[in-house]
Amino acid sequence: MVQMKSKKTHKLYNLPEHKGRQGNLQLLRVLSTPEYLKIDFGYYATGYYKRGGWVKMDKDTVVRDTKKGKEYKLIDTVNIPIAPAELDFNTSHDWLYFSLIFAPIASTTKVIDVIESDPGEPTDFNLYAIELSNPILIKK
Amino acid sequence: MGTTKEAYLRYKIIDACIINKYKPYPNMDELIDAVEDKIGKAFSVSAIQKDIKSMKEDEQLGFLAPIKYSRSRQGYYYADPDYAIRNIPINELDIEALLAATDLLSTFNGNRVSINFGHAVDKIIASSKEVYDTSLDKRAIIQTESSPNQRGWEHFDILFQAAKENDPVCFVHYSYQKRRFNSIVIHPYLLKEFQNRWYLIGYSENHKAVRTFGLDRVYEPYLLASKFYLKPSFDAEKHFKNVYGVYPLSKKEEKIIFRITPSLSDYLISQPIHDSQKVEKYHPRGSLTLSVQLIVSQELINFFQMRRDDLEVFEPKWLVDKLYGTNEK
Repeated sequence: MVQMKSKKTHKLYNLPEHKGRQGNLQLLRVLSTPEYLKIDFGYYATGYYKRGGWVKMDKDTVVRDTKKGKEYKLIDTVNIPIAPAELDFNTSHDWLYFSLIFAPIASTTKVIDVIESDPGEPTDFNLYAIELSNPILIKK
Repeated sequence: MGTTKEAYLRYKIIDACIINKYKPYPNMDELIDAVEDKIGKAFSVSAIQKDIKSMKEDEQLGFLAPIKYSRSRQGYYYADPDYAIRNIPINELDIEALLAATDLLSTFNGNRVSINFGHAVDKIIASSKEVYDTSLDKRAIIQTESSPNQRGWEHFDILFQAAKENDPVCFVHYSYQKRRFNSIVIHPYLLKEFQNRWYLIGYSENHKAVRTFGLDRVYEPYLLASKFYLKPSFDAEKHFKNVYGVYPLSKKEEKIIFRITPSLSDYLISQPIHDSQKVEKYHPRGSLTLSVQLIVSQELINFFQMRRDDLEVFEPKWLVDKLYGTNEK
């Protein structure tokens, strides 16, 4: 069966409900396409470190279908390095918009987790029960 | 007086009738019918006769068309059978004007609108002249202030397109003040420049209101396939008519009275803050009391604060308290 790669398959989930890590890590959008799953985040440095600290992503970060347990691998990142490389902030006032790109998920997937490390530390980017509901279709 | 767009359209229609090989020598009735058919309104014989006269004689128009009337055929024709308006080359003045407009538009620093305009101009000029003098002197004649590498500028084209095509957009926005991100779904209405910064104004679904977002705080916009919402009461002209800047702090227009020193008076007289600026009083040594009728905005407050040494606001009282911290607690 030929899969139609029309714009109707590019679904955007805006500010999806979720559990897990909050605070200075913000889950902003999830974009699901037949080719990949892209998750957009905002992160802002805090005063915990004098110069705002650093960020990096574990290469084994996955998206997991919450109900079925199937995992989807991280295939790329935008604006955030993969460990051991790290991005050092200059000040505690800095902020970062970044994206994680995973293998495409099944179109029937309704709830996902993002797991950087299981069970994980408080500083890991673990988010649970991300609701993929009320999609908005994007034009391009 | 310049030639209107409609007039050019009439000339083209008359030209098309005269050069039509399948129906040569069109008479006046046929010319009128053709023009009325295309434009959708009535024209008199004298109006079309004037058009023919302009096409023949108006040097500024530049056609100098060899239109003649044939008594035997009872219709119009071109004395030169190879003549047609579309073959008229643009003249040097036209080229200078086009190039000057391109220069001005290019101050938008490589924005696609200006790039496309530049290409269109090159095509027009190249198709009308084999060679045109691009001038050995390449120095810039017009220069406007523009910030190099302005963050968010890369989104100008997509947002312009979205506003033009009535497409909602979803983008990530970072608030400098709140130090938080948000993901906004907006129906874009207007791109506005103020003091060399660009802003997008549109109906925000998140806020259920018309809101302003600085392009420097916008990340990764997506065009959406949703229905566009145009708020019926939104009027771009009216929205900013009595605002200095882009962030009004209220909806109420007020009379703001302030006094300025002689050193500032020359500048504000030569470039008023707003059309409503009036001199309320001339003081003997050159200082002035001015008034403006405006909705107070963040930018206006910044304007007053930056000029504290040369400017003092007297009314309204709440603004005085805000600027000079004179609230009694």
